[in-house]
Amino acid sequence: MTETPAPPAGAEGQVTALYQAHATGLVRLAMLMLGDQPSAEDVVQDAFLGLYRRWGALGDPGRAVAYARASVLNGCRDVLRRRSRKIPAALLEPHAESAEARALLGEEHREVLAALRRLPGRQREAVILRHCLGLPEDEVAEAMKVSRGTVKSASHRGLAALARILKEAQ
Amino acid sequence: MSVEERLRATTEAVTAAMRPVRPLDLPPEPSAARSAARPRRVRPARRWPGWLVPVAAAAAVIAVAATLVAVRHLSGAGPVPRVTPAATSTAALPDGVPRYYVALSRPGTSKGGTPVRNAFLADAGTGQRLATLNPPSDALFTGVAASADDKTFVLDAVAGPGLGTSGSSHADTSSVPQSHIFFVLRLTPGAAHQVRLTRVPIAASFTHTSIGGLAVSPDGRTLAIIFQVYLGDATPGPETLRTYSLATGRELRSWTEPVPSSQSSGIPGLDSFDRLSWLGDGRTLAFAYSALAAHPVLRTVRTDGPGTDLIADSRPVFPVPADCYLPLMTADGQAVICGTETVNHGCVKGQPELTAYAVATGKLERVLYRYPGGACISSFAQAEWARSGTLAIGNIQISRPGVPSAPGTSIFGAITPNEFTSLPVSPIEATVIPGAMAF
Repeated sequence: MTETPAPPAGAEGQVTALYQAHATGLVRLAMLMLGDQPSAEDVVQDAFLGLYRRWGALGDPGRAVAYARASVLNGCRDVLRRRSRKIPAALLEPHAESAEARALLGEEHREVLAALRRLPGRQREAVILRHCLGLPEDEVAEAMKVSRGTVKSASHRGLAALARILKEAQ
Repeated sequence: MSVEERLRATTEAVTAAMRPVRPLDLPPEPSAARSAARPRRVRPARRWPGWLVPVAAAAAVIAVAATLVAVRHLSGAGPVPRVTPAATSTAALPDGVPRYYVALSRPGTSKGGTPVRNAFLADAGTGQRLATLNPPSDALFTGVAASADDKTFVLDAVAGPGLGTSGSSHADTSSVPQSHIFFVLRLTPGAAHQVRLTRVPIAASFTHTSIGGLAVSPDGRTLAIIFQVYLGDATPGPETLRTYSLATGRELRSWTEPVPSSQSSGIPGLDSFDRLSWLGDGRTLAFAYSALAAHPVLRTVRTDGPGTDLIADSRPVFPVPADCYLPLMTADGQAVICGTETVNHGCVKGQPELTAYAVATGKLERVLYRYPGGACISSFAQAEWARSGTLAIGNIQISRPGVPSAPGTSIFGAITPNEFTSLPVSPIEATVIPGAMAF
């Protein structure tokens, strides 16, 4: 485990340092949720801008990464809501991945991403945070703002549903 | 290959397919950008060198943080100003616009490396700072709300080891929770002590708590707080709305979610101050509520009505549109003012604006203000600092990320049904977010 370097004084410097240390991981989270990198980067940028604007309200800067992760998750929920309003769900999947991602990811991985997107929201979030990103249960609970018990049940059900969907696709 | 293994392999493939993430593009602080772009003026000798009178945190009544009378006794002090419109400003303000506002300073760091933040009282007509308010030495201010009388404000401070001027960044703070404490600031122009900052003797400790909103009743007697207490493992407890007597700290009413399902609050340690307001009748509270994975809804609850259930005893009145940034219900409860947010998305369509939606129909009624500038900007438009139950004040922040020659702009204006009247308010050194300023 590498230690994050001490951020410089001042909110801008501290938020920028946090972004440099955590943006890649958070964009990966948003990509798994949304399917394309430009939207994922927008969500992460917004999350850090929110963190920057609220830096003074953050009593303990050690909470900043957890806050950013929860904000990214919220931002992804908003994007998915907007998409579901504008585009009928049946037509959503072909657009959910960018052409670039389609070219770079093999069929096997695209199947898994498509299956993830078919999970109910809470199960999808729990599976991505717990099993794709390997976060401990308490951090998943904090990001999703649910209890650890809910994380356990949502990720268990999500994995079972995922197995079923992938089996159907074969 | 198991499902878990397939997930891990896909995650690795996604990571490998990612392009380098673009750098963070923070907009410049409007006030900071202005001060950097403008040559410094040579300041005349200070007339009142003693604005900063520290708070004596000795008793339940914390103390006067900055009293104008105290200035009389400082050697070399000049004529003593009084907190009256005539003495502090000749600038005219539109009818009904409060003379005074309180703003939090930008977050700073103490010599010991701990976070610090104070507040100041300023004149809305001139932007002149009238007094600086210091929290207790182990605390920092995090939010402020105003009543309708222009003379009463409430400040929220978070206190604990590792915070404020007495803390140490090396202290082990993991086992000692931070708590919220509240202060009432009363202005009495003409009195001996014109500015009094007093702790509100609320018995509850508000530890492990995220504050979602803070609102002072129009008559300045009641404080409403919406909050969520977190359990040891960061599991959110039920959301609670509670009112307190500002004079005695006594709990008056409390409404709690039957099941903790809200996603509105942030995480432990982060407060938002953007979800609660009083209506003009002084008996109704409006709050934003989001059940998990559901759209936010503005709900109202009567403080003189029966019940203690936050959901069953309140009424959903307005589903918040997806593009409505920081909704604020008007004093009459008939409309909701929405802001906009365009951030780091390049030259997107749409302009910063404040709009009004009819509560009865949920439809957009009119545009209250639209920033006339061009595209390719980052912006926030928000109406958050309402003079409790009387007036909403909007703020539009504009910046052009990556263009150093184009400093940020922050526009304030009073929102009335038919117009947006610009105010000569400067945020000075405040970070302009909900809860950071109150009129």
